[in-house]
Amino acid sequence: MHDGLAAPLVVKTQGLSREFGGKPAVLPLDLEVRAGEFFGFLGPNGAGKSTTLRMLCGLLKPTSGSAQVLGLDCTRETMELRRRIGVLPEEPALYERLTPREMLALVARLHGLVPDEGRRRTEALFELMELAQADRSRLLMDFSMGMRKKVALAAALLHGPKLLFLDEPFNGIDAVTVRAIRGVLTDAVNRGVTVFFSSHVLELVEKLCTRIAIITEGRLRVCGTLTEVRMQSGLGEQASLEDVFVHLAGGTRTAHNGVDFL
Amino acid sequence: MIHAPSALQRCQILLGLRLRLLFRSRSAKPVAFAFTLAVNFVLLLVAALFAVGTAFGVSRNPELGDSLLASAFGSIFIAQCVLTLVGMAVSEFFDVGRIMHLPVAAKEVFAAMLLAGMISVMTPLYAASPLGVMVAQGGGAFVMLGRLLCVFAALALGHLVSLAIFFLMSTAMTRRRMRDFAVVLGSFVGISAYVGFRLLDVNYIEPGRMQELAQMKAPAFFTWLPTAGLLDIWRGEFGGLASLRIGFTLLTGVLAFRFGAARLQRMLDGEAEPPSTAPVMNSESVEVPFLSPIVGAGFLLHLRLLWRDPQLRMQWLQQVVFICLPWVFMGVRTDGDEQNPWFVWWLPAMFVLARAGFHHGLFGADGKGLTLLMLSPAPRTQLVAGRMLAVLGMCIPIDLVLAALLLLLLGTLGGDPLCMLYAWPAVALGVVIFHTLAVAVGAVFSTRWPYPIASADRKRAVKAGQGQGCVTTFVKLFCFLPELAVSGLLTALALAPLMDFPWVGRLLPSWSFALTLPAVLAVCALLAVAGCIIGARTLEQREEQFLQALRETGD
Repeated sequence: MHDGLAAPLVVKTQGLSREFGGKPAVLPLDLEVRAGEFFGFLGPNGAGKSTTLRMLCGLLKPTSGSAQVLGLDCTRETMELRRRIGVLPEEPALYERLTPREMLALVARLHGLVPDEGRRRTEALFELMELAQADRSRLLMDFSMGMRKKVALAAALLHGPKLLFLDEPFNGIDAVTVRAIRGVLTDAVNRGVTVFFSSHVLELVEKLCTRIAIITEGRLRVCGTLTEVRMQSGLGEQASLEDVFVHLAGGTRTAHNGVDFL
Repeated sequence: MIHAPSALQRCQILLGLRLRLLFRSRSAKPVAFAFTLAVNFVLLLVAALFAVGTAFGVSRNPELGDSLLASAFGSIFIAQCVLTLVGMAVSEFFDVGRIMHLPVAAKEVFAAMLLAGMISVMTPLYAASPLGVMVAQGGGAFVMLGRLLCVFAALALGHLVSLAIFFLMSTAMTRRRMRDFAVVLGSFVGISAYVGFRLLDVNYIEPGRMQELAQMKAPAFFTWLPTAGLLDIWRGEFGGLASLRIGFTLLTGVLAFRFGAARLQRMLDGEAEPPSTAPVMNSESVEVPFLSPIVGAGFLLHLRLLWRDPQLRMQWLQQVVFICLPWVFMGVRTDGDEQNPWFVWWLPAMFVLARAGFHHGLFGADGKGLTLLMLSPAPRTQLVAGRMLAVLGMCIPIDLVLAALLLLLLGTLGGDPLCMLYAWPAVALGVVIFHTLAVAVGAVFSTRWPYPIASADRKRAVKAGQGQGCVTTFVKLFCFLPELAVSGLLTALALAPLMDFPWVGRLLPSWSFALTLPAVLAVCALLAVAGCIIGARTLEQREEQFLQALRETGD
């Protein structure tokens, strides 16, 4: 694990922006993430988190600005970038008509792992994520959302990436699976992997992340450690991450007069 | 205050829901709606003509009435049973999972399904013949009303029995197996109907023999179908054997309703909910001899995707059955005519047209998994090559077998089953050439104008897995014609030393086949490589649009 500013930059964006049909999804964004960080990227729905993640993964070309990930240009060196990063999209990108082991065998092959090494890593990851007992003859489409997330995470980790991009990894899964995934990610960070993830589960972000960024309406509002974020938001040291988030996202509590039948 | 609806009201609500959904699913796009409307109009017109024709025929020859009625009632029952079963097996429209949590009983759902199933454009078509007989036979208002009820009872009985069988099968087998069953049954019905029509065409539709056809007696077993009792009621016969048959009819109806509703109740109670798919043969092997690791992995992946998706698998069989057969029978004389070699071209051409959805949708079966593929560092040329080889690997062997079967069938219709098999090697060569060029063109099409995946240019949002049917194939036919022409020319060139062509005779000496065959195969391979390279480059350029389309369509 690297220490603070001594660690090399693994993500660096300068004026990174993206428009869809003339509408800005991400306004010019300057962001820096260092190796070994557990970086939380937060924002309300439609804030531009997924768009930013997709640009950083080389899946979406920016309208303007630049992004360097692991020292590689996200728009020009996409193949090399894909060799080095692991990605868990919000909706697990799985072939649902494959079995979990077939899926991992495919991913191993696409990343150039020889079959034996692919199998060894698959079993190790399945053991770690408590997937080893999964029915070998069932298709992924018959597994629960949590199981599929775990398989997708295993697929993202299989080739040993140095940087993980995770889009809502804890969305729609139970507490047991959350704990399992959390353990895997913490272990990975302890071994020097950088995790860049977006999530709506603020308690987890608060517990896991070394640094946090909050984006609203495509604009980066705050970025730093939890303490720095509290100060930048102007809410003081006692404020929880949820308070900061709701404050920046413009959330308000309104009276629900129309639902008196509840 | 909440007033719980009565059972009848709940049944009405469900019926309304189903009809509304049915109507909306068919009227989503103006063109599709207009097409559906036109088809329905034609079917109604056919039904009306059929009814009028029957009424006219029976009024001129009253003794035909009984024979026609027996055939019509028996056919209605069989058609309702089989076609409803096939339709329900491949449709996920009435998904029990969506209503399990609502306070409705299985009997109400079952009754709503029965009534909704009766409201179909096929109903007048089924009812046309007996209604024609009813008009011709006349009688008082009471008699006419009774006979009208008999017709609807026959329709309902067939539907009722098919529903009961469907729910029995649903609780006993997986959705995947149900669809396999539907494929086999549907194809069998299609082929039987077509061959039956052809045999009728050859043997009976000749001047002066229509009368003979009309006087044919209904098969004896029709007498013991559950609809036979309705025929007795129609005739006003209630004693002896007739009462037994009427009792059998009533008993069948009651038992089918109770049994079907009970099976449905088990599904609603979650006692018999099957998994959505059957277990598969797990194979982690990604090694394919002679192929590079990534091409091999892509090859196996695509084969698995195509084979494990029930709708795609169904298309493999059905497209060939319904597209090729009519052309084959219309285009070839059934006497084993060796002077007519054209089927060497259009038989492979029809196979390729039938498969165009697969050639042109190399990335259509991926769905969400495509994101993973795009995220991988695998060279795109190898990804496209794996897809092309998978399509060829799935098309060519099965089409070679189908070609042999079709030639056998043609020979059988001509009286000598083996007389057409001499042409199989030439047809086989054509199949290889046509498919290779088609997949080369398909590699470019699949990436330049991807379908069913939406492209940003066309603003077409089509979910993966849909729209690979005959309409797509038909539309793409026009884009396909140049490729078919080149394939035809190459096949002709390869076969020129061996075949006598109409009007021009043999073009090259026999020995030159040793040169034309490898030359043509080499040209095909080169074109395939070119298609692969162009497709891969296009894929690289359009990755972003592919992924954006997946997000927009929810896949």
